[in-house]
Amino acid sequence: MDRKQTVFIVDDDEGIREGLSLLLETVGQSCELYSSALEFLESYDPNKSGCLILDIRMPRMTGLDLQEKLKEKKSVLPIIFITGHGDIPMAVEAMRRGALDFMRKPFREQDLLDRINEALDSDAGKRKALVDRQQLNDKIASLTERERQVFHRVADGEMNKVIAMDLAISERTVEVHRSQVMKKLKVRTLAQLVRIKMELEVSNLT
Amino acid sequence: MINNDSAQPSELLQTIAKSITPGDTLFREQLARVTSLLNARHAYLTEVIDPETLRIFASWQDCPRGSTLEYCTLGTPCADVIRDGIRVIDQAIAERYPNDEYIRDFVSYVGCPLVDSSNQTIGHLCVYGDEHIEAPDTAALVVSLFAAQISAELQYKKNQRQLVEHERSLEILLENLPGMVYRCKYDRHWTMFFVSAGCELLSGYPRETFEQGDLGWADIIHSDDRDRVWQEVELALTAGEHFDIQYRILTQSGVEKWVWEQGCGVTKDNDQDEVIEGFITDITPLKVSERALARSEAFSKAIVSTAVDSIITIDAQGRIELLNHSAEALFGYSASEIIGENIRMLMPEPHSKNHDQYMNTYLKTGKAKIIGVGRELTARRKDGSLVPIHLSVSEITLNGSRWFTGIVRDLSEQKAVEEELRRGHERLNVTIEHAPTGIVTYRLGEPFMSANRAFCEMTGYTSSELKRMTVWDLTHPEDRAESAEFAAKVETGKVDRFSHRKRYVRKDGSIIDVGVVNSVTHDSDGRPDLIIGQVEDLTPRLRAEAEAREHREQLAHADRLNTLGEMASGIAHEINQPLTAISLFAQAGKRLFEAGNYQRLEEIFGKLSQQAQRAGAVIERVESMARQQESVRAVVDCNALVEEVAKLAEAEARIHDISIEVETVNELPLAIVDAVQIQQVALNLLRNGMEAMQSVDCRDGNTITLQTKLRGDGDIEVVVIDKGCGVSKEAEKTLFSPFSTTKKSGMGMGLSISRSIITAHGGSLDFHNNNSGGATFLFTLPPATKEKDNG
Repeated sequence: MDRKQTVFIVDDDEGIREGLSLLLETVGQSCELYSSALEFLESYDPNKSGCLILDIRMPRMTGLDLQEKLKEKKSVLPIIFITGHGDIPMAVEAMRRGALDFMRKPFREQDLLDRINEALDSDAGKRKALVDRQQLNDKIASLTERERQVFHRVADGEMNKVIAMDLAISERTVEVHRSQVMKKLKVRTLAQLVRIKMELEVSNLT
Repeated sequence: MINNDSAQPSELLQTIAKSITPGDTLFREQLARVTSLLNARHAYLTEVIDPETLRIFASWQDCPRGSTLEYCTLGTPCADVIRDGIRVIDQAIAERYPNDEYIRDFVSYVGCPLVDSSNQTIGHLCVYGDEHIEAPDTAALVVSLFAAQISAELQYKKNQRQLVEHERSLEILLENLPGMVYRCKYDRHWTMFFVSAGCELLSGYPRETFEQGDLGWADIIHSDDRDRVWQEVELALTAGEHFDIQYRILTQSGVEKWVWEQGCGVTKDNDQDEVIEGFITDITPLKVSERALARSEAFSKAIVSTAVDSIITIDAQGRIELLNHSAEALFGYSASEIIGENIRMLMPEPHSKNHDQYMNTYLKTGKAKIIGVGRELTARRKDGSLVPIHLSVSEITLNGSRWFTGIVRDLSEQKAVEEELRRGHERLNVTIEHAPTGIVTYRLGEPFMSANRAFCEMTGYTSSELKRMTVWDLTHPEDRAESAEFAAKVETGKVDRFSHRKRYVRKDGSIIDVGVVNSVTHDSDGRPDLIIGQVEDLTPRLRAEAEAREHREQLAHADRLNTLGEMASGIAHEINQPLTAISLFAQAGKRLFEAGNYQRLEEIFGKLSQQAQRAGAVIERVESMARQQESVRAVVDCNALVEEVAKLAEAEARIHDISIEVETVNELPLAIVDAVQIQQVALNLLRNGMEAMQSVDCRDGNTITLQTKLRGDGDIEVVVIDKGCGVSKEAEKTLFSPFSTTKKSGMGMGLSISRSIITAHGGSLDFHNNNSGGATFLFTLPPATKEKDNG
């Protein structure tokens, strides 16, 4: 589990903070400890990858409050809530608001470690997807208006002839634009082109 | 010294009796008798003129003081008699009183004062003899007896004389009445035809005023009497009778006079108007005198009725020989109907029946039951009614015959007073006897003098058993030391009143708790004398208190369990925390161990132990709250106590996002309390405050403060200040009543129980709303040093 990811632990109970950090230490996972939600917020860095283990009940600012604050900051950091006996309604609320998971105290260490791995993977995946989407957007942005029109029609499976007629350009000109699009989007086959178009449509949906 | 040559003694006494019956004023005869009895030469009677002057008013034979009627008493034995009372000088009188020239011819002297009804000395009787007196006691007795009779007689005469004087003054008055004769018209105006010369003296107006018709007689009649006079005159004339009326007139000088008018109608032959003729006289002095007479008669009666002692003399057969005026009044017999009768007719049964025997016994054996002693008896009056008397009897022996003279005092009034006292005493006794508390009297170290019914019932001993026991015997052995301490303080006069609680051992061996209030009385030297103890059996009260305490403890326990139930999720959380930490440390340790990394295991074991203890502490707190134990009071630091309470409530506070701030003062005195119960109260208040702060509408901050304070009066104060919405007016009324609650859950017993717990600890629990919102609940506890006073 040796990654450049950090497990952020926010709990007002020192015993639990220490226990968690010691356990993570034994599996070589680096972690940062915070005794309150505010303390964490102050040093929050959105670029740091990892996951957040958050006590749902804390004085001053609760775990749920912190979840809201992070959402406002468009944080993608996956959150695993630590809940106690009788905190089920709060845990449900936390999940509704997008928490990755919750764990009831006391917890089995393997379960915990598994959840943490999942969270870290999730964070890593999300961060990679974000990077890919950005690259794609950049490529699309590099197309000229005419090239973009041609890209969409080609990807929709239209014949060159039909495209030339619709756009009132020569068939030859369509072919030039098409090869230009393939070059800019760094694809060689029509199938690849179609996939990019689909990715775009999916990301537009989300 | 007794005169053997004189007449028979019985005759002599008869003579005395006659001489002193009321009406007989011959003091000379009495003087003759007493002179003869004592075989003396002279006797005389005096009255006191001033402290040093006596006037002789009766004497037998030539007065030893010559023809002088008044003499100065200086240097005479008479002065001593007047000053000091009866005096017998049996011989050599001249040597004793060398300055008294008149007594040089005599050898002996007996003098006795005469007294009036108020016991003032008014004169004296004295007897001068030529021989020395052989039996001074008898002489004294005889003279005093005569003196008493003469005193009574003088009093009687004085009263009589006063009455006679009044009668005489009336006669003189009537003889010299001024008045006027008149003739007038029978009309309302009393037009006078003729008035006599007395008119001017009577009315102040000259006769012409009326005769010329300037005034009618009616004009000077007092306006209040005018109508009455006319009516009476009219009535008499109509009936053809005389009239006889008294009324007032106003004289010319305006003086009011009483007049008496007698008159009648006269009819002339020629049938003219009727005419009245009559006589009018001034009776003003008479009217004044009438009032004076009425007063003086009442006065005389009063004097006669405040009688001197009654005196009766009987012979050896019990026959009454003589009695005085006062005795007549007392017994209701006149002298004539009782002299010669047996004295027993003045006695009720059984004395009446047995009296002859009493006398015979005395005459034979000389064993006196009454003679010379005096005793209280009951006498019977003529009308059969009984009267309490004091009787003292003296014996006189003359020529071998014996007489007995009894001086009788009417004790009715005294008896009535005594009876009232006795009843009062009895009522007091009854009150004490039936009092609901035990009442005893005793002297220190001595057996009980008295014990009332309640005390006997309390201790199981009878009052006669208690009279052989001391307080020490009753007191429980373990309490004797304290009782001894008190006794020592009483002995040294340090305390006059003390109260304490102790235990008695009853007759059946059972032990009772009693409250004792002892008051100490002192003798005339100021030393402690009687102790009066009021003893209350505290057993029923203590039992009731114990029941109440038990009840309170049960309620308190139920409330604690209820509280714990409500706090369950918080407590679970509190235990879960260390358990979670333990689990994490253990798993981390296991991994390190498996990986052969032993370096940090020691640290991990340390952490494990720490967290386990933490969990244990939570459980212990909960357990102590849940435990039902007999109330145990111990010395407690309230600062530590509130810290503990804050920890107990912390988890719950966290759930509700409330932080508890604990502020304690240094040098808070310790308290002797049941720690669990006081914690329960503090926890109740804290949780109530937190609950009040959960209502979002009125929440004003999220800090609840738990304080300890030291009050000005030395009491410890525990304060809970919340930031909730305060206590509403409606809630205030029922705040401390059981089953009243503003909460959604809970029994509503918390505050009611809390207050009863604090009250039982001698403190108070109260609240007020804060100016800045929220409420403050606080309770006080007496410091350990004060605890004793609160019992």
